[in-house]
Amino acid sequence: MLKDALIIMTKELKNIFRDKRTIFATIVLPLVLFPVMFGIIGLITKANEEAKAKAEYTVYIESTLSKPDELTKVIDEIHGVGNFEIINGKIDEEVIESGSTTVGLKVGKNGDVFIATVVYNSMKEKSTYAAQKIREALMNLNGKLVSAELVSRGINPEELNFVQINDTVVGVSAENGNVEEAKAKGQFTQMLAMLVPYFLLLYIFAGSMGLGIDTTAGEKERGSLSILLVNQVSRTSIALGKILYLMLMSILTSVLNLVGLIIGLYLQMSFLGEGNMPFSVELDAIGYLLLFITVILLALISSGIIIFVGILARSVKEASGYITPIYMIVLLFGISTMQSEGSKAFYYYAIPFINVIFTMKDIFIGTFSVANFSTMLIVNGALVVLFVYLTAKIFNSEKVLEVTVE
Amino acid sequence: MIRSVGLTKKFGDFIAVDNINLNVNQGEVFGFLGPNGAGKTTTIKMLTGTLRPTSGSIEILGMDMKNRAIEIKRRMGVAPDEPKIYEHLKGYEFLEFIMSIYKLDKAETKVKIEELCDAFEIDYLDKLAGEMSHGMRQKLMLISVLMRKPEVLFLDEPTVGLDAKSAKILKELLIKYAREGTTVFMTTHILEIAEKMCDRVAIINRGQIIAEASVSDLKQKYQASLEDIFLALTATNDIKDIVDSL
Repeated sequence: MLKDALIIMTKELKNIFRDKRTIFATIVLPLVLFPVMFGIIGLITKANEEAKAKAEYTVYIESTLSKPDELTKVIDEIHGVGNFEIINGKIDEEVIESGSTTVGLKVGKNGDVFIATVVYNSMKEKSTYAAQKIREALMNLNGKLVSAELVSRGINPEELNFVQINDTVVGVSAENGNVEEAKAKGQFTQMLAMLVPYFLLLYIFAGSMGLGIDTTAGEKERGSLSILLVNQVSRTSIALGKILYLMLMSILTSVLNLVGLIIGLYLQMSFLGEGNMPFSVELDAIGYLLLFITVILLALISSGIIIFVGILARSVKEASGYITPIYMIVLLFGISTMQSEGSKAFYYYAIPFINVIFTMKDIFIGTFSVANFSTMLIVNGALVVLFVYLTAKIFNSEKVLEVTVE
Repeated sequence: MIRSVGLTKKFGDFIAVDNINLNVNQGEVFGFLGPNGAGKTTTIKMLTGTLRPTSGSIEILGMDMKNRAIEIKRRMGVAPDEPKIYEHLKGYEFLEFIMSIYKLDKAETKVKIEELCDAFEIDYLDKLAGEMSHGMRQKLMLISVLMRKPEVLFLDEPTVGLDAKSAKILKELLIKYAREGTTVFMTTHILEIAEKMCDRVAIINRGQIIAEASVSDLKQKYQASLEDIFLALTATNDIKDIVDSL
């Protein structure tokens, strides 16, 4: 039975890889689309940030400060954070509203405390950036004034720290116990635990939808299913062969999409000067094996459901109509669990799709449990067997298979 | 060799095939004739295990189709009326696929394929099925069946789409195979083919067999050509009136 299923799977693969559009959509597009998309986003963002940093800004300062040196201190701090032209005088809000690089600063004093109001146009990116820089300058001034006051009272500001916090990061290895490296690795692992299960779920299901519908309802529409039915192949072999084919294709699609996504994110971070993110995962060989088994099961379940629904439908259009709501549910599972951490209650591991997401999270963040994994394995394995059985049964149903009368 | 008893197929209230009894012997070329919608394809689909009968039984090569379908399919060949071949497979890939399914000896089958390709003038095996004409695909489908030389052949309109030479070769080849012991069950709308090729014919109309005999017996009984007998029996003998009215 398995040998025949493999023959059918090989035929399906040959058939699909002859189609240039499929090769482009399955292999080329994910590897090119994400890197290009995220790369362009990174380049645009970088150019934008550079343009904001290089731009010349005009600050209208409306001062009620009595001592001239106090205003000088404010102006010096502003010059220290960016390229600002200072104009003393009354603030005209209309000028700030119409100008893209214009902000205003009202500054006065209440006793010893500087009272400052920043006037800017929050609709304009550069005006918002300039306001943020002015706030930064005022905070710098505040720091200096506090230090000076403390020194004048004979207190060393450094001695005012009564709590010193050090980090020891566990669960993540770093060279020579480098804490910053360990923290970065931990953050990267958290990001993977959040994104990878979600995207795998999404791509495995979405990636197999079109191909699954084509190999079932599509074949029924084209009439080529009859070639299999009149030849020496059992209906169970046909069902299994199609599920295996779809499983392989969905895994291929999801892995390529994931690789494209990671390359894209890496490019984006490199362009933004954040390329120090460690692209390494704290997984040993067993971890990778468990992850592989989980992904295979996810692909098998998705393929099983899609083949089952696809063969139930009489046409491609009808199949799409049946599968879309299921896809929405799967999508909802993915979104609702994206922010959750691993190791949930036992029953979470008995719910298809959700159990795969939490198992992957567990594997990534090191909260793996044999009991939970076994539950996921049994539930999903049983589901795969059920769908192969149901699909094989459906292949025997004439109500479902093409029927022409002559 | 091919036996059906009380074969019936209903689609809802519609009776497509009504209580058909067939008995085709080994080495016989059996023609299954009938107008469009008479129940020919439905009968072939039941005899080849694609459709389950509503009632009745089918026995092929002495085996019950209900219980031993895979074994029967291993020893029979089916060429459907429409050669729907996977469009992204090349000709030779399709033949290899069929070879794999039947676990045929590759070297031996390739020799057979070459002989058949020469006979049917097929030089397009490296072409995608989607790029082939109906006739080209029909020849490819026939080769995929004939290369195995099955014991029982079911052919639904096998000459449709074939050029004159290929059709002639196919007819002669089927007769030769039959003389060597292969049982051929075929449908055709071309009554000259049935007249020349078939040892016996059955005429089906509205799901029922209305005549079954050797061509010579039928002609002797009705004192007419097979075409006239067919038209008379299927109540389509008002052709002259129809043509005159046009």
